[in-house]
Amino acid sequence: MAKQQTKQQGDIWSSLLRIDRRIIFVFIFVALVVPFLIPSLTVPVEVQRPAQDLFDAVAALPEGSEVIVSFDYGPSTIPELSPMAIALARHCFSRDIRIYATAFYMEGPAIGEALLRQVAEEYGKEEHVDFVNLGFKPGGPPAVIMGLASSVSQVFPTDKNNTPLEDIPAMQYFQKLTDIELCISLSASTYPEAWAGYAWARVGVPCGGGVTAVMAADFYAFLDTGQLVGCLMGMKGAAEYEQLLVDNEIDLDAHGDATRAMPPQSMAHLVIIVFVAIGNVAMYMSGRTGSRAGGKRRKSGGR
Amino acid sequence: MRKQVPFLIATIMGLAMVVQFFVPAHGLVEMQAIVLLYGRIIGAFALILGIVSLIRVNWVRVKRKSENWPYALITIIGFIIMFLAGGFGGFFIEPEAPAGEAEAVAAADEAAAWDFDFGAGIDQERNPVFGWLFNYVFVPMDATIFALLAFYVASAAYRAMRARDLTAGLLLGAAVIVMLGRASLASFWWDQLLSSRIDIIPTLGEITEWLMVYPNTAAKRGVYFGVGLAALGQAIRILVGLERPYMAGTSD
Amino acid sequence: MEMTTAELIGIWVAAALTFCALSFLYKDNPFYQVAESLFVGVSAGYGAAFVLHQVIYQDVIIPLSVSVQVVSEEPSALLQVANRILPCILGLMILARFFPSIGWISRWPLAFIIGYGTGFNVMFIIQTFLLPQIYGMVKPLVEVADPTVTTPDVVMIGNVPLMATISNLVLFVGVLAVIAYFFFSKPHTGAYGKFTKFGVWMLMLGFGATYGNTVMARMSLLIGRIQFLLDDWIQGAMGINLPG
Repeated sequence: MAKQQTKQQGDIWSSLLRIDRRIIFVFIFVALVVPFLIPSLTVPVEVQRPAQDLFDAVAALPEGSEVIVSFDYGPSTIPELSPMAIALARHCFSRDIRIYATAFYMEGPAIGEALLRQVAEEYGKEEHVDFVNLGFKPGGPPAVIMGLASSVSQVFPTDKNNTPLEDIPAMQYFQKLTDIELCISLSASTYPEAWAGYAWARVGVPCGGGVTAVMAADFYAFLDTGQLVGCLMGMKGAAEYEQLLVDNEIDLDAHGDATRAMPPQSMAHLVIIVFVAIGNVAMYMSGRTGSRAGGKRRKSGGR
Repeated sequence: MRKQVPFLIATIMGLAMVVQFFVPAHGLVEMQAIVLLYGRIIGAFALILGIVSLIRVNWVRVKRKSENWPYALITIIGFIIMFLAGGFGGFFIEPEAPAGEAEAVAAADEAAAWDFDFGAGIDQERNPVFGWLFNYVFVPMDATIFALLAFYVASAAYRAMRARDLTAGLLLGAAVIVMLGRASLASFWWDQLLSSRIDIIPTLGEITEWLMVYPNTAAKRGVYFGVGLAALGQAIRILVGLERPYMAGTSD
Repeated sequence: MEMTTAELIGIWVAAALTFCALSFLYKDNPFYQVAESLFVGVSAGYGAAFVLHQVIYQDVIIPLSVSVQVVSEEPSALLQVANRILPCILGLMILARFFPSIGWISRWPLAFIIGYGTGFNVMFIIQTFLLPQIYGMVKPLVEVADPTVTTPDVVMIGNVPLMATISNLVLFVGVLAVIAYFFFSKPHTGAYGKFTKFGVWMLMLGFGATYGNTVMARMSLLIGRIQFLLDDWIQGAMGINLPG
C-alpha cells in the first residue's frame, strides 16, 4: 500500500516534469497582462551604475553640443530600445543638445524618425535645426564610422529623406566625427563595440551604449575599461534613465513605457523562477538527477 | 583571373588599410575614403543580391506551383507593394520648401539641376502609404515573431535549468539572482525585508551588479582574449591567402 | 487623442497580424504562414526601397548627375564620375552569382569588401578587444580607501576595504583561470586542474548572468506587444477603458 502511494507520488512528479509547454505559456501571458490592469502596482526603480554613468556623461556635455544617436536596431527590439531613445532624446533636447541620428540597421532610421519627431514636438524642437536623421548606409562600421571621421558629406550627402546637407542648418555644426561630443549606439547587436573600436579608439570621440538585455553581460568588460562611458541595459536600463530624468527634475513626466513595464516584467520573472523551482524539486522527487549528456541516473528518489 | 586576382585584391586592400593606420599620410587617407565609398556602394549590391535571391526563390515556387505556393505569392505581393510605396512614392509628394527664403531659392536651383527627384519617398509622415505599411504591417509582425521567444525561453528555463551538479547550480544561481535583481518588484521586497533592516546585507540590485561587474566580466574578458586572438589569426590567414572566404559558393 | 480612419484600420490590421503570429504558440497554422510570408515580403520591399534611396539615389545618381554636368568645365570631375561608376560595376559583378558559369566574377567585389574589412578588422581587434582588455587588468588589486572621498566598504581592515579587494581579486584571478581553461595544450589535472575549475565557475556565473538577462529581454519584447494590444488596440481603437 505504502509502496503504491510512493509510486503514485513519483508519477505526479514525473508528470510535472512532462507538463505541456502551453500551460507554461498561459502562466507567462497572465503574469504579463494582469499587472498592467492593477494601477496601484508600481515599484521604485533602483538606478545602477552603468545607467547613472551614461546619464552623467550626457549631463556633463555643454549645452548646445552635438551627439550622435545611432539607431542600430529593428522593430523586434523596439520595446527595449525605443524607451531608451525617448529618454535620451528628452535629456538632450532639454539641454539644447543637437542629435544626429545614424543607423546600422535599415529599419533604424524609420524608427528613429517617428520617435525623434515625437519628442522634438514635446520640447518645441525642429527637424534639421535641432536634430537630423541621416539614415542608414551599408558597408558596415568601418565604412560608415571611419567615413564620418573624414567627412560627413562623403558618407551622407543628404539626410534620410533626400534633403541635401547644405540645406540643413544643423549640419554646419557637424562636418566630421570630431565635432561630436558623444556617440550613443542603441543596439540589438554588438554595435557599441564597433563605435568604441572606431569612434573612440581611432578618432577619440567618447561612446556610450544602450543594449538589449541579451547583450548586456557582454558590455561590462567595456565599461570597466572606459571604452564605453556608460550603458543602458535592457528595458530596466531604460526605466532607470526615465527615473533619473524624474529624480533630477529634467522631465517630471518622463516615466514612460519602460517604467510601466517593470511590474509585469517582475511578475514574469517570478513566475519563471517558480517554474524553475518546481522543475528542480520535481527532478529530485522523481529521482531523475542524472546528467543528460552521460545519461547517468542516481537512485535518490523518495527523499 | 579566377583565383589569383581575387587573392591579390583582398591582400592589397587589407594591407593598404593596415598601412594607412600606421602611416596616415594625406594620400593614403584620401585613398581610404575612396575605398570606403566603394565599400558602401558594393555593400548595397550585396543587399540587393539577398533581396533578389529571396524573390527569385519565391517566384520559382509560384511558377512551378510547388507546395504552399500561395504563401510565396503573398511574399512577392508584399515585396512589390512595399517597394513601390517606398521606392517611388516620393514622385507623388510635393517638395517641401526649406525654412529660410534664401535656402528655398538655392534648393530650387539645385532641384532644377537634377533631372528628377526621388523626394521624401521614405519619409513616413510625408509618404503615408509607406509609413502605414511600416508601422502597421512590418513592425507588428517583426515584433510579435520575436516576442514568441518569451514563451519558449520560459518553457526552456523550466525544462533545462536544473541544478544537477555544482557548475549547473552556479549557472542556475546566477540566472535566478539576475532575474530577481533586475525585477524591480523582487528587489523592492528584498530591500524592504532585509537590506533596509540589516546593514551588512546588500540590496538585490547591488548583488546583481557585483555578479555582472566581477565574475561575469572575468568570464567575458577571458573569452574576449580568446576570440580576439582567434579573429586576429583568421584576419592574417585571409590577408596571406591561406583562407579565401570570397571563393565560397562559386565554382571554377 | 482623435484617431484618423487610416490609423484605426492600421491598428486593427496590426492587432490581427499580432494574433496571427501568436497563433503559432498553439501550433503551426495557415494564419501564421500568411502573416509570416507577408512579413518576409514587406521587409524585403522595405530594404529594397531603402537601398534605392539611401545608396543608389544618394550615393550614385545625385553625385553622377552633378559631376556629369560640370565635367566639360572641370576635367577633375571625371574622377568623380569614375568613382561612382566603378563601384557600381563591381557591385553588379556580385550579381554574377546567379549565373553559375560566370559566378567566379563575383569573387572580385567580394574580395574587395572582405579585403578592406579584414584590414580594418586587424586594428579593430587589437584596439577593441586585446589592448584595452589587457589594460583593464593592469591596475592595483588592493584599493586603499581615502575616507574623505570614498564611502567606506562594508568590512574595513584598517584603510583597506575588504570587499572591494576581494572583488578585484575575483576579476583578476577569474580572467586568468578562464584563459587557463581554454588552454588545452596542458592537461587539466592537479593544481592546474583546480585552477581551471575556478575558470569554469566564472564561466558558469557569466553564462547564468547572460541567461537571466536573456529571459528579461524576451519578456520585454512580449511586454511591448501586450502594451500595444492593451493601449492601442483595446483602449485606442475599441475605446474600452481599462484600469491602470
